[in-house]
Amino acid sequence: MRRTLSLVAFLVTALVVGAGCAKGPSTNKSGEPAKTGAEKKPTDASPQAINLGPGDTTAYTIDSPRRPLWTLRWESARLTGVAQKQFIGEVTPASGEILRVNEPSIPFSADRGRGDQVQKKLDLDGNVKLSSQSPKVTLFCQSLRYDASAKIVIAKGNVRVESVSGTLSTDQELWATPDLRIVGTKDEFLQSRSGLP
Amino acid sequence: MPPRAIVDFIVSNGQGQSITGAGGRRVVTASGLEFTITPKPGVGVRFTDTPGGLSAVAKGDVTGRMVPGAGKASAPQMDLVTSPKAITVTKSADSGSSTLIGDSGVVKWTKVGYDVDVKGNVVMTSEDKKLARSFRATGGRATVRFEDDKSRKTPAGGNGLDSVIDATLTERVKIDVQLAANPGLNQEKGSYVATGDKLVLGPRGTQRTLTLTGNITISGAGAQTGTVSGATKLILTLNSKNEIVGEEIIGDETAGVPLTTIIPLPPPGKATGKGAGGGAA
Repeated sequence: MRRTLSLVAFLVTALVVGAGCAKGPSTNKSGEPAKTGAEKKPTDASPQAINLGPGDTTAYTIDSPRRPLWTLRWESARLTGVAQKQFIGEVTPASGEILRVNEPSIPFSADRGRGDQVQKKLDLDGNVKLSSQSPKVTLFCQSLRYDASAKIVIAKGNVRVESVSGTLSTDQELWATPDLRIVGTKDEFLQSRSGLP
Repeated sequence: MPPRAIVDFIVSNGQGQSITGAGGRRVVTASGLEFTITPKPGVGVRFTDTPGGLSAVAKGDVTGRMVPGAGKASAPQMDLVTSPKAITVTKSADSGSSTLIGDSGVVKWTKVGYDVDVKGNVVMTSEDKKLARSFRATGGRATVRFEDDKSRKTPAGGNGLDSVIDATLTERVKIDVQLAANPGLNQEKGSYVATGDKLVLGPRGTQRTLTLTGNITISGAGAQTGTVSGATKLILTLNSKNEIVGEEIIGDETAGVPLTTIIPLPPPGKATGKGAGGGAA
């Protein structure tokens, strides 16, 4: 059951679903066969939506060598066909971890989530929380994008970063490393991360 | 976790007198004006009153009003400027906090704490509620190191300036100096404003210092402080309670600018016998 759910989940995390991504039978929460993009072959003229029950998935890079990007869990998900063999999926509520090679994972939660495995981007919206253990810092905001290629987190909307005794707060867009070791406004963050004075 | 309201404000009357604080409290300035701040996270407000020299800088979601104090015919005209792009970093401790506000900035968390670098209209405040000490400085850029601890059991867990490992402010630096009475040094309680190019808060210790360098001006209304121009270095020594117990004003003769101190005469009938007169230091 877990394995089949993950197969369906892959569809949710991938904005662009390839024809070979959902192999074998898969089921939704009620045990009925899931309607995959490959089976329905949606077109631009006939968009459709598929609702899914609880599930989770781990997204990997498509290009080689494959490495884990994130794990995403949800209570419900909705796939919307936008083009031939292409779906957009949004999950609610979203939780999971940003995965890094040889580094601790970074747990997150939000009201909604959307993953793009091809672009390697994870979008979270509504009551976003990202918690790093080293350093022990938590970020709160209204929306967040994780760019796994650039290894950057971009947080917007009433952004607050808290540690044991320190709080950083702003209405500006804040850029950060996934582990929240460096957090700042865009220019200062990029300058700081590049090691420039 | 609910959002934490962060509000810091500074009120000065242009005569070296100022009030700093945080939270939704009611304050009354030295000139008798008063206003109320109600904190809601996210928006900054700045009041300015150029002719009277009265100003208030606030960060956080703030609603403010200014009304005339006792004996005032009317409130001064205020310009309201919102500054929602400010970034605020607050170090909280058991009984006090230090806050940095700037237009932009970056924080780096390290193994022991966090390093803060903010730019723009920078305001740095530190408050120790137990000792009733506050510190306030403004500038164009500040780099401050904090240890990530809020317990007084560690050196950096203290309140106010004790929570700051070290700090440097540059570009249009201005500090409000609160002098503690020190009979041993013939120093009376008072305050003044000093401006310069760079301010360095030295390491913590029994003889912690604040060093202001550059083109320094000092202005105060007190009988002892007066007005000083032409100085190149101002060194303030703090005691364990972060009271200023010593000050050293240094000029540079080679710069060709004389170090001048002007101390106002006391009002007629109130001569104290000390501090009156003026001259070059």
